[in-house]
Amino acid sequence: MLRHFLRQLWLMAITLFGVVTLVFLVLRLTPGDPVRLMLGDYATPEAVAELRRQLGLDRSIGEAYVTFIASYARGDFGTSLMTKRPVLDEVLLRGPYTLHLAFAAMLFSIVVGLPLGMLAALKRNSPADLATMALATLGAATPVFFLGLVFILVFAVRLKLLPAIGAGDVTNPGSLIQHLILPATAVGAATAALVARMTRSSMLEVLGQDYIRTARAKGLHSRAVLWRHAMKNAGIPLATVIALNLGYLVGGAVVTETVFARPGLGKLLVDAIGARDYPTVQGVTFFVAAVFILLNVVMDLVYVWLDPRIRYE
Amino acid sequence: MRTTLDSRPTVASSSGTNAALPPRRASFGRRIRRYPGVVIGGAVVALILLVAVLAPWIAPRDPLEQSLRFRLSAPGQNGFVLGADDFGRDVLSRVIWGARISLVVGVASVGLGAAVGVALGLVAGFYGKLVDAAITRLVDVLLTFPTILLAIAMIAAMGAGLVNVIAAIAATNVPRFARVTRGSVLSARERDFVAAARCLGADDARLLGRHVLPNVISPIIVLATLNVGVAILTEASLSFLGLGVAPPTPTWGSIIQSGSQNLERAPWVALSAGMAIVLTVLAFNLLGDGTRDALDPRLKDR
Repeated sequence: MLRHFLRQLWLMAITLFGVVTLVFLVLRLTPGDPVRLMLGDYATPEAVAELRRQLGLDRSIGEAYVTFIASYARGDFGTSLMTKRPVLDEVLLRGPYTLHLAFAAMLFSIVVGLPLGMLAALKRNSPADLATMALATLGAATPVFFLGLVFILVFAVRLKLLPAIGAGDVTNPGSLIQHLILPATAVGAATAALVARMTRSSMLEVLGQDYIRTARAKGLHSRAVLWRHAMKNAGIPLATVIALNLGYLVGGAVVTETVFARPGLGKLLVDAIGARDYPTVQGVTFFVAAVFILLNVVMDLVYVWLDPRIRYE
Repeated sequence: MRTTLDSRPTVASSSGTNAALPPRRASFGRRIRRYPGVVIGGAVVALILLVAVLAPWIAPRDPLEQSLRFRLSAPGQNGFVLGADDFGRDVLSRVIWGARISLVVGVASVGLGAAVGVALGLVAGFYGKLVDAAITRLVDVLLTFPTILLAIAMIAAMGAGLVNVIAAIAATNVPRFARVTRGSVLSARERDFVAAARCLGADDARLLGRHVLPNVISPIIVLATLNVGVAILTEASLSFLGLGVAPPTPTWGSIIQSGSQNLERAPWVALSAGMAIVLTVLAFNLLGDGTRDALDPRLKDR
């Protein structure tokens, strides 16, 4: 177990290194002169030279790469061209909004997807099953930003039930939660659809196993069979689908923030691309990828905890 | 069990739906008919393809023609079937033309990503050792990026535009195809017919192309069909964020973006393009699910 954990940490380190390399290449692959793009045509030669120096563009690619990695390793992600503040500060300021959204969306997908999937499995081929599966199929085909707009149209514009724009008042938890409901539902809907499908199929599989028949045959209450025997074993594929969807949740949060004008990392990234603020683009990309990698390692440990049958060399 | 960041251990098990298996000797065509998803999904995909190809002839107006006095006309008003947008452009015509970008990007990016990914997967799975380790590590790094984030980062580097959007979405597809192909190759290369072909003097290229690839192609076909839907969603997201094909070229994502500015007064703009995306992705997903069920009946009900 410890060896496995260490191996995961080692892989995580290698992957992070790869991510930093990709992020470094973002600036180097840019066609033309990125500094001219950033500063515009009327910048003074001094300003251009200064920014070139700051971004390492005055050095050879190898030298710049080493410097880039060294500064990232020190926790120095450069200075935002938009706000003139350290990129790290910007990321730490905006990060919580994205994390709140991604976790609220995950919560929604489990709270909605799990019972629907169970219902569908227990009442197989019933109208409830068909309706759930139809909804799940539809959910997987709907772009998250479009669903967000539909929610804004229905719940904010027409029914005036919930706020549409922004993230709410930081000092007021009630307002924060109110502002989370629509975007989290939009981001979580597609994942809820997948969770429902996965729960249904793994429940169907488990319900067909001998030990379920045994549990029923010995006269166990059907609710006890469901919870004590079936659910426990359906949990692993469920953990898989949630793990595989972490990327979708993070990505969905990134896109949805623009729809709801939430001041999170996704909005920051899109704004930074528009402003050609490369240090911020690099920093945000690195951070989101890093958090995602970390979550994956955590999920990997959750598996071992969920299923003692999984053994690692 | 050896795991990497993304190859997750799952408990192997067979589906409990053996009763639903088609007879063993059912022909491919018979099996397809057993799976209505393929027929319905395929028909809708064909219809959308037809609409995209015939766009210049069936679109009622020029998708770029502006007439400010008709701006935000409601559906049915002033001869606009699905209404007009904030420049007075015909929404129906724009949605019809938008199908072209969505399909071209969806199919081209998956095709390109599959070509590169399958090649990498074949090489990794067939040669093993250091080549395999290097490719697997690269695939793992690419997979750590959430799809849309990788696409956005690449667009940030290369700039927007049709070719770059295709390249960016193709890049998100490469690792998926590489992984699936590698896994299938690992089991296929140990089979007797590969050894037999090698004994007959076939070189590596022939072994890979003529003997290994045909035996690993069905999961690749399934993945390709399912990923076209994802690619279309990604393209729409990029366009929506203003990182796709430049305006005024109509794309579904950019139509929704412009519609979102007038959501209260003219919801039909965003709704029309959104419905087009949902319908198209739904059709590709049905086709993909159905193809998977037909090619590998064990996976039905998953």
